[in-house]
Amino acid sequence: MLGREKAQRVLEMALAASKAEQTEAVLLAHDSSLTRFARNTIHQNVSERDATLRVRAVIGHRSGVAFGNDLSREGIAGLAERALAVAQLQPEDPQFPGLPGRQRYQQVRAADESTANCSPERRARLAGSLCRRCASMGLNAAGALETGLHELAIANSQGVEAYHAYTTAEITTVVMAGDSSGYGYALAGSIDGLDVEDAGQRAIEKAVRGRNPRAVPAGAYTVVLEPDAASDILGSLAYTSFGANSFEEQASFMAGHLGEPVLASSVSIKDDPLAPDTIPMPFDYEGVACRPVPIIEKGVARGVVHDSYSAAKARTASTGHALPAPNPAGPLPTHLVLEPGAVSFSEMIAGLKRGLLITRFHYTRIVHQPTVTVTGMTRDGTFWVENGEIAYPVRNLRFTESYVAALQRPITIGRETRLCGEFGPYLVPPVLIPEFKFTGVTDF
Amino acid sequence: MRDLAERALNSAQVYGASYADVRVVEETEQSVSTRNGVVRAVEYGQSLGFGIRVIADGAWGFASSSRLQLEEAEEIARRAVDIARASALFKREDVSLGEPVLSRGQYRTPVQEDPFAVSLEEKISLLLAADAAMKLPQVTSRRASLVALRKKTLFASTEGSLVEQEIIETGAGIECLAVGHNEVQKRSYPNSFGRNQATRGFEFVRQMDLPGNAERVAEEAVMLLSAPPCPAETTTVILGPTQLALQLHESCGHPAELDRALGSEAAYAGTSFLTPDMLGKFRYGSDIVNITADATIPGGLGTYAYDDEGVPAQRCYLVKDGVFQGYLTSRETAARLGQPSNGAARASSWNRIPLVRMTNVNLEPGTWRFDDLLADSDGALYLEMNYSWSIDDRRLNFQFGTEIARRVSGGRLGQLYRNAVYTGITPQFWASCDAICNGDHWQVWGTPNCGKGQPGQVAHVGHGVAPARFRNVQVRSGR
Repeated sequence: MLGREKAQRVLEMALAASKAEQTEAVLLAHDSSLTRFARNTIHQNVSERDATLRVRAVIGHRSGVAFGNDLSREGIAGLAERALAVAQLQPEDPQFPGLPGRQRYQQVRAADESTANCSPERRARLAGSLCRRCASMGLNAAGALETGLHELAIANSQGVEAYHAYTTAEITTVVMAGDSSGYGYALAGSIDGLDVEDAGQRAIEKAVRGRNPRAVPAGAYTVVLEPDAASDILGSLAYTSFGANSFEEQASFMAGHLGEPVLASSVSIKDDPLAPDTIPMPFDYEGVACRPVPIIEKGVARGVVHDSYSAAKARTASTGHALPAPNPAGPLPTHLVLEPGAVSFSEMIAGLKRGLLITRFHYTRIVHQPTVTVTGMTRDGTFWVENGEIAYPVRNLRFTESYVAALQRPITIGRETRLCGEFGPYLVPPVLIPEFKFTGVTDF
Repeated sequence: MRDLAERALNSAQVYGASYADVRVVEETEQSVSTRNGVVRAVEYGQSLGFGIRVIADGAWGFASSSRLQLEEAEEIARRAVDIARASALFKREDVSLGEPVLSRGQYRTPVQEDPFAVSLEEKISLLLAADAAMKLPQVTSRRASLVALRKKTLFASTEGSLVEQEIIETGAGIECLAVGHNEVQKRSYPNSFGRNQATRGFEFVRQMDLPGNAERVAEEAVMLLSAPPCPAETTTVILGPTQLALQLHESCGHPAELDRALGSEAAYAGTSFLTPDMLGKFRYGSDIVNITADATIPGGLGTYAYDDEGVPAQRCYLVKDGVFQGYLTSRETAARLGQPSNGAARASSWNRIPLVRMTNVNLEPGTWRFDDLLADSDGALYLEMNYSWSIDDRRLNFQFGTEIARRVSGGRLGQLYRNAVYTGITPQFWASCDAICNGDHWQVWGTPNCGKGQPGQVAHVGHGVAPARFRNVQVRSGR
């Protein structure tokens, strides 16, 4: 771990070495390890230690970025020099507003020591016990257990001074039982808070229950999406519609509709990097303080996330959603929260006459951006539900569905949220959607 | 670099490794992107570091660091051995790498014009010229980008290999979005995913003529707004070169990775329908389908002299005369089939282990001239430039969308359609291939965004293709 003082020294050296009118230094450091298993044995086991400094030099309305991981005095000075040279060669961008000024940050959860120091043996024992359990049941476990310490430090010549260290622990597992498979996933801010056993148990139960799947024809069905599947909807909406760039380019389904109902009234979505139940972040990659952003409130479009650049163009304030500069893709939400409803997951299943229970989606891609039409496959636990009970497993299906249209139907949002990590740390409950369109089966 | 590599290998052995290799890597990149007439990003980056991979107590360990110091090499070697010993607590069998590999050599990508020597002003001016040429009233987003990469790698192993390589890549591309009533259409050039890329110098970018193609690209995006949606039908399709490259990538390249077939990627990217018992027997495609993996093609994005285990680059058949013939392999995976590696173990950087990756996976040329193919395909749909791609975890059930579709009529590309998607099952699709264009139309396309592994790795791979025809394909509008 670099620590606050050493990180600040690096940033100070960068600012001192720069001859630009304004300078920003961003230090990203991590020490992370990942234990990967397949066929009930550990087959890859890796660790990495790296710290990258990014220097942004600004002259008038021109800026240039140089980055590197040589943190010697000469290396840092070289980056400052290179960033300035890059900036000098650029034409003016009159829309560039300059670097942000001093900020106040909210205190959020810091790094966990036992996670930062997690030994390879502890990771191996956690992964290995799941492998042994699966082997003893005639099942086949694959997955990865990762722990990491991450540090983000930012300083700029306009007064920004920011440092945040945090830890993550994550387990992904797919348990296979011949013609079936089950998925389990968990993400936490500490290894002690990571429930590996629960994730493993969910995967095992789905794999065992999924044996001898039956074919279901393509068509429109009511679906209950578990949080890992529902998080795909949030991720796709984030990428296509919730950032300032797509909004400005009129490619977002919300463009021109702020203040109007765009989704079902049961849908409220916000981005909240400060939420304690997630992996919180007090500031973005420009050092601007993060703040919660209501995006959809009871179905009504309320806004999109901004960084300094997009905010200046839209004549508003940054919401603290900048990614590392330069970032032509613009700001994106990172901590989406789908507001939970009142119905429990078991009540949701109990109330379903006929439909599909879906654990997760696989390889989803945008087919049509304005309607956020997405195609993908179901994976690792798809079941037919009949008269309020899970009746039997089904073979995986391909869907092609407009996520916007799906969320405009009379959907039901569940009560229990889970922290999902595929697209960011998102807090997601299960969702019931009528008439979800499946367009293909695998008949091979 | 050599001192550090030597210290790392010695330390690993002292700590108890029975095998160790080390890669010391220095990467340099420069990227420029413009958006709607302004330079939106200019970035210069450098990453240095080393990774030590060891076998101790019969199991793998890997550790890496960006601190290029001799003491750090010792510390990271110890860490790698500790990790291997933890892995060994739950091993089922010892890792076998097969026969030792002893490679010694040097390689540098041959380039006519070093992309780092071309001035930033010239690069910016080229992109802004292309941007300006895309300016049309309905085009709301114009993007252009250019990238230059240099990766120097020193590989050394306790088996005595010592290899130094310098790979240079250059890439560029443009794209635009046209917006109409409740409709957005995209066109790209010369490839989607932002650019085409190759292990070539700046001459590669000059030959693209981005400004010369920009107006056409923008006009096509606007024309697509009012084009009818692609009709739903089961029909003959001709895949244009960049879409065929994507088809090959997803439905042949990935399933032919032996680590996937053996289950190593099961929890993340998935497995493969091509299981080892199918080798030499399974009919993957029609008789005219020949697919090679060739890391030796000049300029291919998956071209090098040695892979990241020190194995020399090779050309081999994955599919021959339509029959599944071989996998892409690493030393460990090949040894499980009793074979030597065919040199396809690649790591994205110093902080990642080598995985089985594509090199240049190619559909070998056929016999048709493109004009003759059009003349022989009345009523077919010509689909080109990937827009969306999705395939299941066994690489069987796919649905791909293209930016543009045209009806073939009277030997020409006629009626334009928007939002075309086609779907199929991999071996059935390739079995329906009945015509492949000849070598005059064959070109290697770069795919610089191939993701795999945990932690994630992005590989740069190539695909040599010429347009090809497929029968009885389900096509429709994706909207």
